[in-house]
Amino acid sequence: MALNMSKINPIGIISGISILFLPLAGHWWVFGVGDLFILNISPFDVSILIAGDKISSPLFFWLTKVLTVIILISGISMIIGSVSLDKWYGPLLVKFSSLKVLRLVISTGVAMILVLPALGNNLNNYMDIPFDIDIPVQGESTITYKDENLYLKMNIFSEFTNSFFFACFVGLTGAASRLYLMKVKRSGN
Amino acid sequence: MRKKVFRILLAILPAILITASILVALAENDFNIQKTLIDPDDLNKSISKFQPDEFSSNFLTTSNLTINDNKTSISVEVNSPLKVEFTIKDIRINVSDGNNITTISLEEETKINPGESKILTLSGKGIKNSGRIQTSDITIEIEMLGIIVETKQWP
Repeated sequence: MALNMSKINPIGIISGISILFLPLAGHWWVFGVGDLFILNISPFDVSILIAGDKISSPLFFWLTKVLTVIILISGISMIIGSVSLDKWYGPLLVKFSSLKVLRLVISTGVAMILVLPALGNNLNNYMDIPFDIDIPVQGESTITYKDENLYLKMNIFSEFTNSFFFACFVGLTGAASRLYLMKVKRSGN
Repeated sequence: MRKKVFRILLAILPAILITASILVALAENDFNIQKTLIDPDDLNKSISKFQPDEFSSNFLTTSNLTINDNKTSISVEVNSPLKVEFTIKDIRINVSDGNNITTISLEEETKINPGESKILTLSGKGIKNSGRIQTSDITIEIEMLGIIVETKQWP
């Protein structure tokens, strides 16, 4: 039996399945100051390690858990909506889910690219550090500080991980599924 | 009508969940995070022995260790680049003259801010200065058993 392409959104199905895997993909961005401070960030988990010990925050914990739930709901909605485009709720579910991941990706990317350099320039004001810190968006830099009592040399590194690029892919498939929905609507099916 | 209600529900669902998560986090009322930064066991792995009057890590520098029969003290300076308050919970030092070992420990926990230096008193009798051991001789073996440090009010 041939598939009725006006009833299903194949890109949406792929996107929905990918969305469900997204919270399991790991951290999107890794930032570290030597072994002293390591930050692993994704919208679904924020891990802060200071001197090898994990620091937890109730706010981060609950926000990331809720974002995980929202994204899982989006994935399920996308799949349900994509296989029932002919039902009244199908297009609504696809619209609800299609841009969630893309918005998360853009927010994370913009935050890292715009905020980090500004933060690095002002970090010494906030933390009373007697030297400038250049926080790279992607790559490594070195801090060196020396006075009578203290010699400090640490690498600062920052990296968007493969999980982030997977999230970009998922975000784009979500946007494509919305375009497909618009195309189906325009064609009058 | 039901389409409209469904659309509104979908629109406000994320906002409701995010607001609820913030409220739950606030209800926990536990934004002051205390954490042991340097575990005594970890310290033993990395630094088991050190020269009698100096020790340094990423966070702390100790100097001017003075051990005698009545009072043992050590100067501790915090040089962390992070703007956090440190509480020195304990310092334990094994002192040996080659035959006898005695442990001396911090009298009371002390808060030190970055950049500050404080002289801390350790209690427990050190090795008596017999004629055989001279303070000028570095023959006393000292083992740092542990420094427990906690951060407070981490953002």
